[in-house]
Amino acid sequence: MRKLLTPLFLTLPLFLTAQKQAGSIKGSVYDDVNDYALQSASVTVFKTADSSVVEFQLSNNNGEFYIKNIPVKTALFLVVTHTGYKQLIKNFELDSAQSIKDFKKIPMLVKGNDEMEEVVVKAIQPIRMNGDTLEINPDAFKLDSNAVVEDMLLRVPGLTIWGDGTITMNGRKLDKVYVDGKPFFGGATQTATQNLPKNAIDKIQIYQEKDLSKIKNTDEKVDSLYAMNIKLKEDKKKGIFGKVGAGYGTDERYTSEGVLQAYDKKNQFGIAVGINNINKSEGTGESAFEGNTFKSNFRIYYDGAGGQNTGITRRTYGNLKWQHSFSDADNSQFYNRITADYGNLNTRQDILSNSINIQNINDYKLNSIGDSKNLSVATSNNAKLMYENRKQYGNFVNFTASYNNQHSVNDSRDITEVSKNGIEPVSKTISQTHSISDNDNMLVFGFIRSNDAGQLEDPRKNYMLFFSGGYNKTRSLSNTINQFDSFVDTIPSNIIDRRYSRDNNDYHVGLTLNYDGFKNLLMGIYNFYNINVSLSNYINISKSEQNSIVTDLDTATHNYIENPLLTYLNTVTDFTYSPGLNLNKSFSKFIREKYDYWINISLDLPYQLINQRNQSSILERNIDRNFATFAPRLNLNYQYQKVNRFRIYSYVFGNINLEQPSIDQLYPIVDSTERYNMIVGNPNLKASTARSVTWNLDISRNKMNVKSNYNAGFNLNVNNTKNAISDNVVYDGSGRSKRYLINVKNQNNLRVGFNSRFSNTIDKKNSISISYNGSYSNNNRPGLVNSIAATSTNSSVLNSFNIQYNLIDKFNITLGESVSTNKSLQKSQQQDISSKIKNYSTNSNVNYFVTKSLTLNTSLNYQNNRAANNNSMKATIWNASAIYRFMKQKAEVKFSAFDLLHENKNISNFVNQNSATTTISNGLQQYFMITFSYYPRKFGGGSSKNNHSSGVMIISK
Amino acid sequence: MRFLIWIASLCALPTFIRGQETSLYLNPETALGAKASLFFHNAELIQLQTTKESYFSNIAGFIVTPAHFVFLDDANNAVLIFNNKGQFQFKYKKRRYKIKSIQYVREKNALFIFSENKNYTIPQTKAQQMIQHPGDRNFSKYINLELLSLDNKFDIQALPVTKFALHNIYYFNEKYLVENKRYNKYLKDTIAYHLNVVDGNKIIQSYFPFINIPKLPPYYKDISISVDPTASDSAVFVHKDFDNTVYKLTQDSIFPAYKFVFPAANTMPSDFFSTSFKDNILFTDYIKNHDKVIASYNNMIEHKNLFFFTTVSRNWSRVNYMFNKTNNQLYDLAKITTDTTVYFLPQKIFEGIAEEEGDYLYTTISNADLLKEKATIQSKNTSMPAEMKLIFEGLNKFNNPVVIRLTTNNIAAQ
Repeated sequence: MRKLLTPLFLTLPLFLTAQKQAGSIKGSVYDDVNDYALQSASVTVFKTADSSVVEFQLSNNNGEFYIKNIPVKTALFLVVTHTGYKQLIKNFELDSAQSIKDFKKIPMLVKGNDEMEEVVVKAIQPIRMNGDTLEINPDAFKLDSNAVVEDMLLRVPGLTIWGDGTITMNGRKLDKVYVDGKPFFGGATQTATQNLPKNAIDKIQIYQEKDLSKIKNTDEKVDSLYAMNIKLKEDKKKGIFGKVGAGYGTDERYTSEGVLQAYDKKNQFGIAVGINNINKSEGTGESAFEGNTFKSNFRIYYDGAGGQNTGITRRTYGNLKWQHSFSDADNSQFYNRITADYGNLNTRQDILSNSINIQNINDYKLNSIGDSKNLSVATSNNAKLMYENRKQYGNFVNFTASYNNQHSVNDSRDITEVSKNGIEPVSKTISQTHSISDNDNMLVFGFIRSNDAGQLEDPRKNYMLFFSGGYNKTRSLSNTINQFDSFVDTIPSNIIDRRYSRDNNDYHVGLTLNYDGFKNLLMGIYNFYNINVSLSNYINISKSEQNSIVTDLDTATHNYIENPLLTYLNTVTDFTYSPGLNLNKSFSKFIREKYDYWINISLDLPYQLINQRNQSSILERNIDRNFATFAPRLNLNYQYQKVNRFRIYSYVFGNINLEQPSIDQLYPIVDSTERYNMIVGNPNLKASTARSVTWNLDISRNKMNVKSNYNAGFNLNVNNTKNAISDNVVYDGSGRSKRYLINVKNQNNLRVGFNSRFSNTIDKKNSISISYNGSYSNNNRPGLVNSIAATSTNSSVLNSFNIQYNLIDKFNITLGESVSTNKSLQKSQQQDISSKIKNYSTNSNVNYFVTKSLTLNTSLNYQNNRAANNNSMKATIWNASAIYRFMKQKAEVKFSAFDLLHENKNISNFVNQNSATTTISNGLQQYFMITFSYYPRKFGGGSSKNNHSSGVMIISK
Repeated sequence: MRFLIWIASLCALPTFIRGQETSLYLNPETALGAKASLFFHNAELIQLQTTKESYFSNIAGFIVTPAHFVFLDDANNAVLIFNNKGQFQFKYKKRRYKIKSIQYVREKNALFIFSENKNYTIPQTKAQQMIQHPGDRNFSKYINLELLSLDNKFDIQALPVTKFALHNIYYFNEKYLVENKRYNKYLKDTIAYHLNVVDGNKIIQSYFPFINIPKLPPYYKDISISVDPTASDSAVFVHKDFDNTVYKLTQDSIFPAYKFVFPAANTMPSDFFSTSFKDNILFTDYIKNHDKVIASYNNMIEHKNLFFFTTVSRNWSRVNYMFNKTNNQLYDLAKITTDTTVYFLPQKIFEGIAEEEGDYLYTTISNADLLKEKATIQSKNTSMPAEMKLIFEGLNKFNNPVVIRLTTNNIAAQ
């Protein structure tokens, strides 16, 4: 299949070269009386037949224009307008390709003061700079009345909508999307761009905004994000929209959803309900608002949502969303609002899986074959309330409270058969578990920040306070019947029938207080070489209470008797206090029209004091320990921008942290039902010191009004852990392993990633974008196997390539190929053992818009998973759908087919240290489904039918 | 509050204005364009000498004196002085000080240089407190005021530092104009003034009153005053944000020099200064909803019958205008097209007109910009003056900019 798809990549350029024949026109616009050139005169070519815009341009400094891509043998007319001048119209037709029509000097007559505008050609210019904001004018795009914002964005020069939904403008990623300065129903881009009609938009603004999560003492623009604000027309500041749909298919598959959203100047309210048994998790629950947009079925990027997930899952959900702004101000910089969310989700998941695991022991292989059957039903309720306030540039208040409860029931049955070298059976385990658990979780967090970044007031009052507190209560009851048969031990069989009753209560409180006015308090107006000095304090207290009552069935008395090894009371209390200093300095240089750069160095110097106390009914688990260490952090940011060429952004982050061993690593409580993997603690374990360095580099083109854009990124992460906790794995004859935890000198991790994107707008209709992602990671972990030193190295390489071609309103195709390789190598004095797995995945998705009402979609996903034993598992999943819209596109019927080739298998391979695992799980089988949907939509109040579409230009000749 | 608004209305009354001036109704959108030859009849190029010492990066200030070209380079914190043939003469730098502004004092043929000590950052509120309660502070620790003589020796004379130098100040006949941008909680009076004339540490005259209470515009945002020189040391052009009148301030009086009336979209509604905004969200929203409003005027130059000025709107768009007093026509300098009279030099030279001296207007252009259009200019000019030819042959993107001396024609002088 992959071979079949490869030629598609190669033939793609054929699509691109198949362009229509076109000519061009030129001329220059002049003031008729004073004979001087008119700059920025709007020159537009229309089709005579339907008055649609063919091309447009603004005249240059010398009044000249040169417009390409003018269709030949078509009746056209040219409209030249300039503020303060009478408009001018000229009819023309190009007879052959390559022809250039020269209008020469086009004289414009000054309009008298009493003359009315004869022509209403609303600002033709599609994009323009309005001060520091880039504005997109919807009136410059003629689209049908059902068009949404996304349809328009696809036509905006310099703007690219990527295969993963990311939007870039002239190479800059737009991180946030607002509607009238507010996040729109949670802030997901497509909720706004695929629902709001283009005709409701006054303008789209793109500007730079501070990233609140990164904000520090300095007031530089480098911490900023690019944001898009969709400004609604005054009469469209309220609206209601949504979707109701239901589908039923073969194999008893069904899906149904209902979403309704309403907004006005101050409020947004949304409700979503749904049920499906087609493994669909995307677009359900809270994400139902972004997954059921008016145009969700037509997006370029298509991910075959959910179908190929493991097992068979039924989801039933209901969600409410409300946002209230206390002010109807429409700027995203300052706000005062409250957001509330509620969700109920019931999930029923049925998973059958079969796994093969091979562990390489010094001189033999241990093969495990596992069969597992799992049924779980979970019901959860989530409620979240958030208050946000920002009235001044450096002052923020954020308060968030969330509550979650969950009730779940789980039944599972697992059979594991272990053999030596695949031929010599050594043991077998059958385990059956039934469990019920209830969980309540309450979390409160927030921050208050007051920073006089502009140095206007009193910087001694600058501070930042983060706080969080939480409570978690879990009660679980379970019963496990576990039978272990050894074919080599002297005691051949052992059955455990065990009941667990566990209560966990966890509490935590955290507080971070940074006093940013520390320097000013100490030094007054002396600026200490412009180095900012802050005092930081971090306190965290957490307490976890566990009450575990475990009873085992006494086969003699048929009574359940308390298991003293697993029945215990335990309370862990952790206290961390970390006082420190933060030093921060920036350097910058700005050379007008050439380049600018900005460097920021931030050094945190905290001292960590940790107390860990464990009180337990098990004597040796009663400990009280203190740790103290210096844990510095360095953050280095660099930005360089060459005007009209490129921009670079880079940062380096390094830190040192102390990681103390947990009580379960020192004195673990070992459950004998864990047959094959027993952990033996080590009370002598030392704390580890983790050192980490991350380097990130991004480069992107920085040029306006170009057809091609690119950006590339590189990142490197190196981690070293001194005194890392590793293990000595000792295997017994039955294939069981005991992991004796030990400290090893060093453990190392390396990760390197590279990504690049390129887009090209071939012409107004055709565009192509290409992206590549590559990554390499390596993990080096020394340890022991059967007390012989063995260092295991895991490495993985991922290469993924994606190409997307879009012919607006006609056709789009996305092709993607990804290859991932995972290697594991275990080196010991005796021998080297290595295993390797490789996964190939080829995806293609085609949308063909047959008419405005009928769309065909097909997607192919070919997978080839090569396991460690070189066995290759191949599967091709072919899905297809046809969508028909009617009733002014508000009603939809969709016929979809899943897995036309009957090949869906869920295969996953995994290698780690000395083990390699292949798991095959159940999943959805072929089905056909028919879905009916209706999209209620109303924007603006009252007489919307009389509202003239702003995208239509009225020309009177 | 009503009482205060009433006071505000009273304060806003132009009681200090001498005489009545005619308002000029102008629409920026219909500002005219013109061929260069309508106003200019010659352009002369002067290449500034480029040496390791004289090379500079940014033009943060450009002054033309009868004998010199002076540039303030904010990237390298230096003042560079060239003679009027472009030859480098002198470079001024001051260790530990950041040069904030330069100004030509015609009477003394000297540069007034205002610089701040880099070791101190004085928040505005703190500066207000220090001015109000100076104690025995020595303000020369924070600010440096100097006169740099433009005679052959380039002697430097240190000036005593007034406490008001913690705000923006302008040298005005051995006195200073002091800009007071915002609400001052240290002032006991509810009325404050945006512009004061000070002699040493004493205020001798005040202009542009405002109500000094919180929640009114100068509380959330600065209201700036721009000051530009005229041909005489004894008068300056003054403009206050959001006010479409350009005033001329002399030793003892202030009067409107140009009173423009722009369309409503470009004018801040009159209730702006008397509205008490509940919070910064409402204030910012008000400003944002009037983003086309012309906020400030700067770069004001009067040359013969022409008045040049730059407007900056709330959305940061800058437009350079030229107003012809003879026929009350407003020209947008971006619409002036180049032609033979100026040797088809790039159009942007008109937008860059920054100085006047005697019969000439002065603008600058970088070598890089000239290089971009070198071929076009050479092809359109069959005969080029020898000096200009030489400059075009020696163009190099690492050279200092070229000064363009424009000669205006009779229309400008009418």
